[in-house]
Amino acid sequence: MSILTIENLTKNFGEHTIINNLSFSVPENTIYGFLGQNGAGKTTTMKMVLGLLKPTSGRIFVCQEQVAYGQAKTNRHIGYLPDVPEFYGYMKPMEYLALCGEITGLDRRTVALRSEELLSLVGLDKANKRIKGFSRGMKQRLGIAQALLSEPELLICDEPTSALDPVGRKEILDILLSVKGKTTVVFSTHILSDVERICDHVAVLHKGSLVLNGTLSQLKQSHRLDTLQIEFRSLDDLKRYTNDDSIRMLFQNAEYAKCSVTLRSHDINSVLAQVYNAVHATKIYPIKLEILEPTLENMFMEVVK
Amino acid sequence: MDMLIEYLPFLIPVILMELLLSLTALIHIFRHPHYKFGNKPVWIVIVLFCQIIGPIIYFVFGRGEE
Amino acid sequence: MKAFWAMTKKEFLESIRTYKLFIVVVVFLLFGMLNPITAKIMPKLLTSFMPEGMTVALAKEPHAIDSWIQFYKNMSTQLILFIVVFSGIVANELSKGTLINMLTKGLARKTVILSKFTATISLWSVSYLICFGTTYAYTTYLLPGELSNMAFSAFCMWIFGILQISIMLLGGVLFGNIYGSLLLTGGFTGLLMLFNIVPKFAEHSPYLLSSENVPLLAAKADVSDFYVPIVITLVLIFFFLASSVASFDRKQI
Repeated sequence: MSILTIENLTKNFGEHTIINNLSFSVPENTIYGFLGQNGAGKTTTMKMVLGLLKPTSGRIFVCQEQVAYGQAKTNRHIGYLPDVPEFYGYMKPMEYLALCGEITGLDRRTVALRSEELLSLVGLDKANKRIKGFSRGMKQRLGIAQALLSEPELLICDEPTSALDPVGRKEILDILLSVKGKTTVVFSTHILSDVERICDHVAVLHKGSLVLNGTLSQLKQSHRLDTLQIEFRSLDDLKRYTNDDSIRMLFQNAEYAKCSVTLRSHDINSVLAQVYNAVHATKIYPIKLEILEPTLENMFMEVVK
Repeated sequence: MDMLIEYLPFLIPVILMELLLSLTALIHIFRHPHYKFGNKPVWIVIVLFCQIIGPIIYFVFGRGEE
Repeated sequence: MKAFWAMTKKEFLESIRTYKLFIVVVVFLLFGMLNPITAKIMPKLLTSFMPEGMTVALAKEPHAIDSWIQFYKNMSTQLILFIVVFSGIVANELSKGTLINMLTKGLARKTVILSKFTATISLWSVSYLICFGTTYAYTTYLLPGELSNMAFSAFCMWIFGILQISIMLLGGVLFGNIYGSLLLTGGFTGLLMLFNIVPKFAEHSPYLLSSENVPLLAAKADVSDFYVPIVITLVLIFFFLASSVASFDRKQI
């Protein structure tokens, strides 16, 4: 079952088309990484899912219920963490969560219990002071707590880690990973290592439409742009080898670094055959020859080119 | 002068209120040294020397959020 | 309904912790005391500063109405202060984005506006009552004189305050910042004053509710003259409130 379905979504701001005929669906109990460069339309898409922005055309379903702009009905399924969550600075975390609970319609006891649970989950159980004194990372963590308060089926996080230091980032990712199983998580980011760390499903948004969509392992299979790295004993060897007539063509688009050279190809076997033949022909023997796993970064770079 | 003394019972609450305004503002200025604009000495002068108006301006416009 | 009370409670908490309530209450109390005192002392003060032997036309015995003249004159200023202090109630939340967490939790947008309206009106009523009560008590003690239509006259000013508050809220929703909120309120008041030049409009204008209170007290104006302005004011309040709700529903946040 899919928890979020987007059908033919388009959004124009004046002349500019931000989202162009976007369709995808998020399966239940996944961590869905929503990738894209800055300005690709990630936040816009999320805000439309939340009914905060009006789509130019297209439909959005959350838990099989259609989202209506300006109405908040479907939002009861959703927990949302904005990119920069803003709070009432004059409140303490517990008071803020109590307010959130009352708005969601939860009863006081449940809210009090869950608030304490969540605050210790996000590591704010000792921060009993007004929110205006909070650091960026603390606000981000309180943001997760308020988003998870109503035990939503869908948790949407807009770049939760972008503004944090490595320690803060790891903490946030660990929290997201810990809620997997109870909640489907959609989170947008432009930090690829975050995606590789926790996501099972990846979608890449570029210029308003999806250019890549699938599970991480699927993508690595289908976008198998293999990388071959050859290292020589000396720069001289490298030069003589790559200038050999039989393979000079092959190295036209290669990347050089010190004594090694890197090749990319969709057909790694024929490349390997040529490389080995040239080794026999030139009698120049590399000290290392390695096929590198495709990385998300390579894929990402390729699709957003 | 005796007129002032005659009305002192009525004037004392007024003076107390003004003092309360200035003092609250003053305490806030010292405890939260971040302002939307201006700096500590400026706000102290404004609050102390502009009765009523000074503290109002401080709380409405000068009080920092963070 | 639960969400409505939660948000209204939140507004009260906000007004307390951000010192808004404190300022308004202290200032209203201060003016409440100053109105009768000024009325009582002023003539004497003026005479005592005059050179010896000079008679002053002003120096008549102060009367209760002098205190209420002060009250209604100052209340216009106090209303401006109130509006300025609370002008950010919608605008700040929109510009800072603090409402996003609330709205994405399923809070209906009209609840936001209605709870803000309720909270602001309550705070206005309480502050107004404090000022009125203080002036009333001091005046009764300090100054002689009987007055008519006391409650009705005060009611007129009170409802005029609500009109100003509702246009201030609308400004906040429409423009999303304090300046827009204040400009709309100022512009609206300016328009009322402009209309007042034309006698036909002046007769029925809501502006009457804040300008003709003293004649009411002195029984120089009739209560029935205020019926039409009151109805117009109520209609306007409802219209501004409905517009705020409608335009907030359509706002992209």
